[in-house]
Amino acid sequence: MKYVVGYTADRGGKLALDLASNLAYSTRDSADPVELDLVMVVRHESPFTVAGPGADPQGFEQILDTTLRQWADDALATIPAGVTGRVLIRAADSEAEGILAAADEVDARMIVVAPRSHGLGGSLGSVANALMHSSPVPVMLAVANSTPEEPTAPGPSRVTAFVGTKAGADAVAHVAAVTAQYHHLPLRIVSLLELDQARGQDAAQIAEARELIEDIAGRATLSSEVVVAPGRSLDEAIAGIEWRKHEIAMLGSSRLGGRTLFLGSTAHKVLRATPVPVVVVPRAPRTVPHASSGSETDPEPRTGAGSDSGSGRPTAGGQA
Amino acid sequence: MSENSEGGTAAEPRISDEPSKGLAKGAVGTVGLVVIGISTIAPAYTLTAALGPTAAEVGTHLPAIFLAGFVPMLLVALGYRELNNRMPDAGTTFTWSTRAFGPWLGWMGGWGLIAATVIVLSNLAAVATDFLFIMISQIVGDPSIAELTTNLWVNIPVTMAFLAAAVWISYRGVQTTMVFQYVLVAFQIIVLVWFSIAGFVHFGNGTAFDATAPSLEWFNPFGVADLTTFTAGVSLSIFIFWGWDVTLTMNEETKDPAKTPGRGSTITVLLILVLYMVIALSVISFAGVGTEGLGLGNPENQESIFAVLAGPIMGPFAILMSIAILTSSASSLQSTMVGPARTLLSMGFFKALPSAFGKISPRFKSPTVATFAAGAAAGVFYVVTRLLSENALWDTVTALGMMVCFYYGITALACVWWFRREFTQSVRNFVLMFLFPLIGGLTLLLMFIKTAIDSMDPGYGSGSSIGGLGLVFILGMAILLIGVAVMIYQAIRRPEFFRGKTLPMDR
Repeated sequence: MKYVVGYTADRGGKLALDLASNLAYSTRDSADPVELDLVMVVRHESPFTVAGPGADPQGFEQILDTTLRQWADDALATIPAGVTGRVLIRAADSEAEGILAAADEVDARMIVVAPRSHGLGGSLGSVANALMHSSPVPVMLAVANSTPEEPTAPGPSRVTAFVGTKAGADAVAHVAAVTAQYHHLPLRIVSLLELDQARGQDAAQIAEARELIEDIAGRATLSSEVVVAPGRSLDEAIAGIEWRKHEIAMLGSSRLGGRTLFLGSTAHKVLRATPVPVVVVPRAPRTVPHASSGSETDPEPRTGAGSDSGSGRPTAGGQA
Repeated sequence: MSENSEGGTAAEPRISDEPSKGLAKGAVGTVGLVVIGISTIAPAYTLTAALGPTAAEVGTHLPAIFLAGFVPMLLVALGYRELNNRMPDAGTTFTWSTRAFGPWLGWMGGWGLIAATVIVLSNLAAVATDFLFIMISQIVGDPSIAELTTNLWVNIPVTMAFLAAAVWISYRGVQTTMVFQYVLVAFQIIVLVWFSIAGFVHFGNGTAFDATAPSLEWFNPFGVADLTTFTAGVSLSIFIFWGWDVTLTMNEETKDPAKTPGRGSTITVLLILVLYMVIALSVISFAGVGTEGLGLGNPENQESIFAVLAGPIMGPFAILMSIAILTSSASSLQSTMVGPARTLLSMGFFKALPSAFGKISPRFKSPTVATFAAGAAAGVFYVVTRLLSENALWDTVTALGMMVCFYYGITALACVWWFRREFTQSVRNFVLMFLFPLIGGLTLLLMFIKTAIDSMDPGYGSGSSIGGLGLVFILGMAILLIGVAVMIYQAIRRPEFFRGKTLPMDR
């Protein structure tokens, strides 16, 4: 099973690589361990970006190539023994496009990137934002406060899916269920309710949320736990949730807590408030059959079938 | 179970790469190449910067000098092309001359290129600043705004802002689209043609400032008063063709590498020559070369000739000229930034400079320290010149001509030396690898020496001087001596490059 890491030879790239390495390491003894493809993107140069005297395109490319290979060697050296890793150097019009093309090329089940920690106005930076808007596979965001110190640290202990009360919850719950099932992890489904604007409807909303997630949890047939986390604001709702060490959180790319928000800012809030790695699941993940088909909770045969079928499930790693 | 990963590690290479990733192959046709060539030359900008100082030197022989300036450029560029075809993996003055002559001369060649490009960066930013204010004053109809640029407290910060923007865009690797480049170039040419036709119309109607009938004598390079004047003129006019050689060295990017570069660069230079001739004739027949009023010889007009003449010649449409020069110089600022940044990168990479210069941005895959250093050097150069000189742009362009002669000369002779065992093999080799680059290189180096000697005269260029020596001389020598000092420092601290370990001579 391939994970693609959007790698840059800086602090962010190291975070993404460490997080992905940790997940891969925890599956090293599984039948289908996670393998890492680190993608370094070089942008296409337009010949009409005129370069004056001394620009030396070929000479520059030679230096760039040498540097990229040095970065690649350095990155591969940090991957723990037992984990298969490669570096793909690809050209594209943008970093995000290059990562998506590589994910498609190797049929990746997950993309791991580090959002820009200083993104303005709650943005995660152009690369992570672009990926979350257009990636057909789940995108795991590596931030400093939730990435394990060592790639060989214990892997994930539980999967938590954030679901809202509206459409889109199914995909998240489904991916989380598949992930948990495959890696024999407990599953927790959390509904965030933002209650300040509609006090009168509190009871109805909570009931609605409970109904939805019990429905999803019922179909997941896992040792799942259902939690409704209310709060006057999203921050408050998130703050009330307890976390295990080495957990993975999943949330949908479009809605959270029943209110439409700009994706980047919601993800940013969750990222800030959540002490564990966060996976953003696209509304209709490419590799997941529609969640209402009922029997999807036994993914073992399909994920085991290898990367060529295209019908396998995204998974977030876990302990065997 | 874990054999899976181990087997995978052993079986396949761990790095999967695409060769020639960044370069757009086969994307440029002849027209595209001509557009690229004209964009690199930036005629609207070069003319406004060089026309005045050149006319001040050679008077009505402007067309002759422009033609004469092209000859050494052509001879050297042909040698460039030979080197580029033979060493396609690395092609710039620094690497070529190091591989031909060894580390010391190679280092100075690279430094000469950096100095020349850094000087032109400062000039480009300054011209952009001037025309920004001229344009604003034309828009709001208040001539006093154009005067703001003479206030150093306004001029220097705005110029620095232009440089900073160029550094930032270069560092982020922002790309220019084909359509944008076509529009810029077409606009530039239309405005220049409009300007020259309008100049001739004034001449014909008798409304010219100093109607001067064109004469064949203007094309006679031997009519120039003396060798000093001739050299000064040619060293200035080399600058107006500078950048043209880029078209000759484009190969893989073109649709037909065997034909497109030759065809494209020929058409480019013919178009540029025609454009320059027409404008030179028009400007002289309108304004004359007198030292009063609008005359080209008036020191007041040397900073940028189009700023002075566009209004009288084009009337209310002068704003088009401002826009053309502003866009021409601003876009040239981007494209020129690449050269010194990559040469500094290359020098850092091969340990000819501290290795920090060899750093590439992990995010943008562009030179980091080298880009910022090039921008900072241009800023420092500009501030120093602006504070010391009575006419910074004039002196900058003169110093630039000197530096271009220096590094082009070294490159051309590197070509001769590198091919020294091959040029006897055929007539073609003899001409292109030996004769042309030798003549071109020697001419340029002699011009460099002659300009250096002449510029010691305090009256040279704009007439600024320090301690009885011309400012252009002091600037030029200071740049070269700083280079020598940095080179010696590096040779003592980290001698690998100077022992031929990182970039050996290969002949």
